[in-house]
Amino acid sequence: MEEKSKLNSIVAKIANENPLHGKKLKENLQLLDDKFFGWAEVFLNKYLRFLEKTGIGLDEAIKFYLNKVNENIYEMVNFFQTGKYRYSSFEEVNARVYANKEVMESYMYGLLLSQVLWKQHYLIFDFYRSNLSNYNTYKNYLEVGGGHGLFINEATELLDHNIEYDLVDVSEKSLEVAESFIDYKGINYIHSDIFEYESNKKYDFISMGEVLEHVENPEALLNKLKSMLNYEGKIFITTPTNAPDIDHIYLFNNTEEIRVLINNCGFNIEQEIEVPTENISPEKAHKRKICVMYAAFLSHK
Amino acid sequence: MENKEILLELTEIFADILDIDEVNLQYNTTANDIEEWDSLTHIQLIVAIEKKYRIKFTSIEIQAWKNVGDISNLIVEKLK
Repeated sequence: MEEKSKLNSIVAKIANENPLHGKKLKENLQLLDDKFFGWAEVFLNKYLRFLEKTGIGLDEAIKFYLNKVNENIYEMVNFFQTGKYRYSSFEEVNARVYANKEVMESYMYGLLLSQVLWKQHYLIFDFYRSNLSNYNTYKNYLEVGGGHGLFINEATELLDHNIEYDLVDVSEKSLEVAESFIDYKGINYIHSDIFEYESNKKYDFISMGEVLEHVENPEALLNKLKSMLNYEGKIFITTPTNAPDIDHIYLFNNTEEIRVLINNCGFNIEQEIEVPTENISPEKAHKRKICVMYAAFLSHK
Repeated sequence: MENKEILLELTEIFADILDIDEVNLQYNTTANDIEEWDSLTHIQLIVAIEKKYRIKFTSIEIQAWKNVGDISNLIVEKLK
């Protein structure tokens, strides 16, 4: 109950600054179950320890989060007016976002908080952690574009510690944030554009959450992952449709476009989930150009 | 244009976008006072307001809004 009140107190602070967004968060939290609140307790304790470790106050983190919310609104207005994402070049968003430590810091702290505040982020994460153990025969694990590190952190907690973990990210700041957030010390942090990353290893498992929409050619990226994956290996990917953001450059109009891409790259979809960001069906969301989060476990065909 | 006039026009825009017959819009009205004013209709409201007044808001300006008065003040400011 205490943790539920910790969550409620964060939501109340947000609602005070942004009543409209506070209203949405309160409505969404009502739809979540005890399993969520149990996880939220663990997550918030870890998040608060992480803030303490990195010297960022909760109020500042909330400010970062609200910046993110408002950037999203700003980009959505443009998206509804033009039907396109504002940016289309990786070079441009790399310079403005990934290579900009100040922007990236605010982005990562805000994004981490959204994990416990946004129903869709929690449901995608829950899909990942609920199914990951089914594939627990790995020797090595690669995470691409790990951002704040929540997913690979979960893997280190759920899977065996004799697995070799590599985390590749184009942003130095992201790697710094992830290293502070993740408790496990055995991860190799690699600062590289995934297209330039070369390794002699073939991976048993590759996780890549919300990266496909950040590149100009998602097919080339999936093919790159395929070249690094063992024949028996699995991939976990997530990507959204209709999700304008400060660094999204590739637009998926619906989840079928994602499935076609996966198929064209020679993968089978073993399991998948679609989570609209609003409380409507995926079909209605696609029609109204509203974001749907998509996640899947893939294997070689 | 003055705030009073803007408030009347915003009332029309809100009624149209939120699809409600009567909106009692005041300067201190927030999303908590109108059920239909949610994150989705908010985007539509911004799009409609930008179109009506031929103005563009920045993300920092949008962030500062807490109530209808904040929106109205900014429109007045931008039309000067």
